[in-house]
Amino acid sequence: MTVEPFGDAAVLVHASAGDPDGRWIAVESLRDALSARPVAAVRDLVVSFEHLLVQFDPARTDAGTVIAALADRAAGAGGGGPAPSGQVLRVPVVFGGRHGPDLVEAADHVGTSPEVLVAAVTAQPLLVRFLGAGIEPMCTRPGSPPPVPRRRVPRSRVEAGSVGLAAANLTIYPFTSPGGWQLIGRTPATLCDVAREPLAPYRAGDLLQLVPVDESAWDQHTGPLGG
Amino acid sequence: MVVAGRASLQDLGRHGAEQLGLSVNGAADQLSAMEANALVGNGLDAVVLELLVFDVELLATSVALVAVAGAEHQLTVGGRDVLPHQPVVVLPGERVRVHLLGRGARCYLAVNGGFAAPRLLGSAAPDPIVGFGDLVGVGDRLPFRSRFGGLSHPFSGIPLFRFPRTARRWPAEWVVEMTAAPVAGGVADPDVLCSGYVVDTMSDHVGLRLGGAALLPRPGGEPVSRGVPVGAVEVPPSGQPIVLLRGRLVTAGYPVAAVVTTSSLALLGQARPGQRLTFRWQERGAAVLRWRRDLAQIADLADAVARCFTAVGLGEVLVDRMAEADPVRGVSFS
Repeated sequence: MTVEPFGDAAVLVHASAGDPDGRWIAVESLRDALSARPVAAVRDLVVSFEHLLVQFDPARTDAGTVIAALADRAAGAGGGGPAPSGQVLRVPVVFGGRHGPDLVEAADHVGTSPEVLVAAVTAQPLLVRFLGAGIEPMCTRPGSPPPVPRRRVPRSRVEAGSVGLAAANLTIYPFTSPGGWQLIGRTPATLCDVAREPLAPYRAGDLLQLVPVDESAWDQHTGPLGG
Repeated sequence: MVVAGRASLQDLGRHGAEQLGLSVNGAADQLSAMEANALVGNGLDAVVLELLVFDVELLATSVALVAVAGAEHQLTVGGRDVLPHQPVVVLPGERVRVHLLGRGARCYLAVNGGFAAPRLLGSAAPDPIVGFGDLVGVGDRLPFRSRFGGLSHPFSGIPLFRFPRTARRWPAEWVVEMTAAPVAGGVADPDVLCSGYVVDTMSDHVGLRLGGAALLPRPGGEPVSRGVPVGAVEVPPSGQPIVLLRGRLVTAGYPVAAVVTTSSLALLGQARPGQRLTFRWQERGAAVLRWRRDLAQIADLADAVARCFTAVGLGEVLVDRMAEADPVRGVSFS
């Protein structure tokens, strides 16, 4: 793992060795170790596929102190990552058309047809690797899929429930927000609600099974996800 | 009555929720929000009213001790001009008018005791992405909790405070300091940033979009999505950089050319569309010292206010002495 300062109030940990699973497990294990034994003045952690962003209060500590503490925590980290929860959430998705405006373009990028691309992302449950921006369930597509590039100009508005692809990854936007991923479909279900506790029905280690549904059946699939 | 611009209740942000993908949010110009709170004897993280490119009037329905800090503005209370960046006594029925002048984009209005606001995971800061918190609009009532019961000057009747100004001077050239970003996931030539940029009208609390020379990603494909700090200068394929602000998405897959320092981020909270910015590299250690100096000025101001309030018999309004059973008061936003 490498650790580098990222601005005057954060350091970025990168797990660069091993396969994608091993990298994710390495950063998840470090995050677990930091939760168990917090570092003074560290305020926020952002875990992702192979990185951990550690943000601190620059009035109370500095990058050198935090990097030394991270080395100490890494030495004691378990290495197991989060235990798979066994929870599988069924996610109804309308693919293509106005709900998935980039489906054809995304399929072109990976040299296949929209039908084959949809079959690939619905063939088996997808593992939630971490919660991304706005409580997004960030998943990897199964196998070693060809990468899908992000859009040249990010959209300023992506509708809640949209299913997006970028690189080898898949996500669902829980809230209407800006976004630069290629949109291949949209779920009628509500993923998250700030009035609910917990905010989201999924966490890292859960599985999402995308299920294609017809646009005409949209109204039958609204309501809270998993509810 | 004229209200233009946007108003929202803010604190210094929501820490600890970025694991859920909730960005920190909070006051765009953290130093001015802290300064306004310091001037009325509040904790620096108390809830304040953030006014963005505004002209606004508030009607006090009870006595209040208020202060406004941030962008250049004219402040009138009950029709009389008062000194900006100072605590001001407002009587029931008086109108407080804040009128934006030439420079800066945001003012922060603090009231002794702090505004009452709903909280999500410990913070009142609105998070538009998850739909928490609203803009404040005409007719809204803004309750607050305060022990301030009024203060009269023995001769003039109108008390006058004059604390040393910590407010920034408005320079002819807006210099934004930045530190180097990791080489991996960076751009081919980050020095292009030093060529100067103009703030674009598409900017918001998510990002300050800039116009100027295009930056190119490093060859070798897109970076893997990773957590990015507030202040990261992100470069989408168009090459036009975006400074990520407090409402950013916590992970991003675009290259990052540099990271704006914590101190300069407070300045960017005052940048309006069309503002010309000069970017300059800074060492990380110097950036941290600069931020600590900024905070020390606010702490000195808070100390001076506490000593003065205690001397004039207002010691009980200082926030750390307040009890839970304090009366709830309010101002209307009219």
